[in-house]
Amino acid sequence: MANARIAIRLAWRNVWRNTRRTVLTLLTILVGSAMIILMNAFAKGGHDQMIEDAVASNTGHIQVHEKGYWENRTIDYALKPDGALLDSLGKDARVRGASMRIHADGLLSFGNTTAGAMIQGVDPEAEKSVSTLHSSVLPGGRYLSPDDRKSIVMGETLAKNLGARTGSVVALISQGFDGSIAAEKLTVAGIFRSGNPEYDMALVLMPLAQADETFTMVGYVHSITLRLASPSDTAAVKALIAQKTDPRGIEVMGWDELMPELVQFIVMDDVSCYIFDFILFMVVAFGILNTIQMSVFERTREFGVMLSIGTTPGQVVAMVLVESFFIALLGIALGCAAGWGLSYYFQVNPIDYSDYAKEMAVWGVTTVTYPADATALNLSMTALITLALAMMFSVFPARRASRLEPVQAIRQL
Amino acid sequence: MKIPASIMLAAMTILGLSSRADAVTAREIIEASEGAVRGDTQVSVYAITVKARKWTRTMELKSWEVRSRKKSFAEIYAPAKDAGNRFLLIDQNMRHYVPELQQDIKISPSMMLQAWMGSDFTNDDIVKESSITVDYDHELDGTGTVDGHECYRVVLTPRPEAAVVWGKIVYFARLSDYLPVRQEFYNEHGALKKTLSYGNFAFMGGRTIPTWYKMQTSGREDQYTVMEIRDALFNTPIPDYIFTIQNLTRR
Repeated sequence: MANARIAIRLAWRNVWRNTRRTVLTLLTILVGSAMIILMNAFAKGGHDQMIEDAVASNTGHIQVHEKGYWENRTIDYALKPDGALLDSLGKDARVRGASMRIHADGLLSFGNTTAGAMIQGVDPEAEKSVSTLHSSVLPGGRYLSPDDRKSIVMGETLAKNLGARTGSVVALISQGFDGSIAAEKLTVAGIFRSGNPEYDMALVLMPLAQADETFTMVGYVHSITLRLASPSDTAAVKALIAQKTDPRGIEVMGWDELMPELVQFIVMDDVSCYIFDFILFMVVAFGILNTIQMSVFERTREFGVMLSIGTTPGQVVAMVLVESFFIALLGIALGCAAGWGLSYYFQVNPIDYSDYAKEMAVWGVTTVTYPADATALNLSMTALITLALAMMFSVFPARRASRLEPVQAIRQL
Repeated sequence: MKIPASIMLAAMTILGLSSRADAVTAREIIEASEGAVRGDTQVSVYAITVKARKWTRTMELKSWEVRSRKKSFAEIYAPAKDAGNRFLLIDQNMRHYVPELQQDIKISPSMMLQAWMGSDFTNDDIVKESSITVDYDHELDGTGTVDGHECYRVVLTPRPEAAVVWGKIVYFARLSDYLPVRQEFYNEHGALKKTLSYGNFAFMGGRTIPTWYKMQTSGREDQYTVMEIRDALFNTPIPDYIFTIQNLTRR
């Protein structure tokens, strides 16, 4: 006990005996851990933003379909909405909005031009709490209103390809739920620019009531799309719906199942992030090894004296380890503070790539603002790993100090 | 576009070279078989029944076709909801007249590949059908009994330069008159994707032809498309006005 106290007191004094050396080590740890935290915060914040953008634009956090719809994506797979379920979802505080949708593939024709389109029948009011498309309608046009019937809103690229403008009357042909030919003349009420190339090139929104009639849906819909207040409730709300519906006839899918390509992108991005983490951690570790090693070299004589007057090699090892423990702890505390502070700055002022939106859309990336988000997990994991590495890489210099030959060591300068 | 495709298939499906009884090569079997069910011109009345997951629907159509000039015209007569929809196909350009809209819509070849009326026929089945003799190498692979008919079994593999969707087609044609009995369509991995069966061989329009066609997509046994020829006329002159926009859009 007394030995330990001596080792700790000695170590504490040693830490501050050579301030420059200590500050250098501190800086290595501080900058290293702050950078790791900031990088992970950017990854987390960016990924969350991408998910949020993808979910918010149209997909929603959860979709309920007739079993088999998502695999086949044909008009055949439709369900009769369950009023009781919709009511209970409407009362659930975790659910921000629920929208029933009719989906159909069709051909839109304007003048002598015809283009394929994804028709989406929506309730204009309910849809506003689920998707953000209503806010991307370009000036000159408008979003669907509750009393619209034969009006549509379409993607900008589709409109361009057709040569249609706001006010144009386009012809839709498709197939109805009963196999009949579905045809309708529809007026373009507005044109949206979502930034998502797929939506802009093919998506057409039409009023749910009209879609029900045009496609002879007789009250059936293809999906009930939910937007949640927080994505972290996805699993819980999914389970709740699954419990209230027949799993043989209904599929309940979360955003991760609805957008597997996004999940894959994030996993891939995470892997490259981990590689950078590893490199940064190694830089920090060897920085610590280097400075502790140097300090042990510089203090050869001192260790020689300690060993000659009866300090045991174990006590020397303990002392050096406690020294680096103090430095590491201090460095990590400062590093966490700096990392969190920087992350917070970028959380409030996200990096904005809007100027490069076009170039990024080519890669299918529609998120243009990248906030940072330093989570408790990020901070604690970075702190723990840095501390563990600092201790591991101090063992070699500590053992070196304890194995010095006292007589030779004293003669060294 | 399935409907017109189906029509075309049937349309292509009539006239024939009179069958020859001597020893034949695989290629001759296919040519004779294709020829036996097709005419230079053809006017026919069909019933197409589509069995989907949730519904079964029968449409009745009449079609006119001049093969040599790649022109075909079809009109739906029943059910009432779809009656009056007309299709004009010249080369690969299709126009679809929708009476509800009083408007015709241009449909490019690329758009015809997708399922249109929920049937199991695709335009590709039809358009490529005509090149079955050109785009594939033919190999006679013995004989066998299919649906009670003694048949040649001919294996068709695409020529390297051919732009076709199938990896292999197995074609069964009757020994007696080369009439087709079954076609099996395989993908490039050798998996059976679709089966086209022929039945109800009957004397119609001056020759014996199969009057019943069933296209079955593998793995969806609860869904299929059946096409029945109710009446057919081969090699009668068809007036040019049939294949005009005026005829397509007449009120």
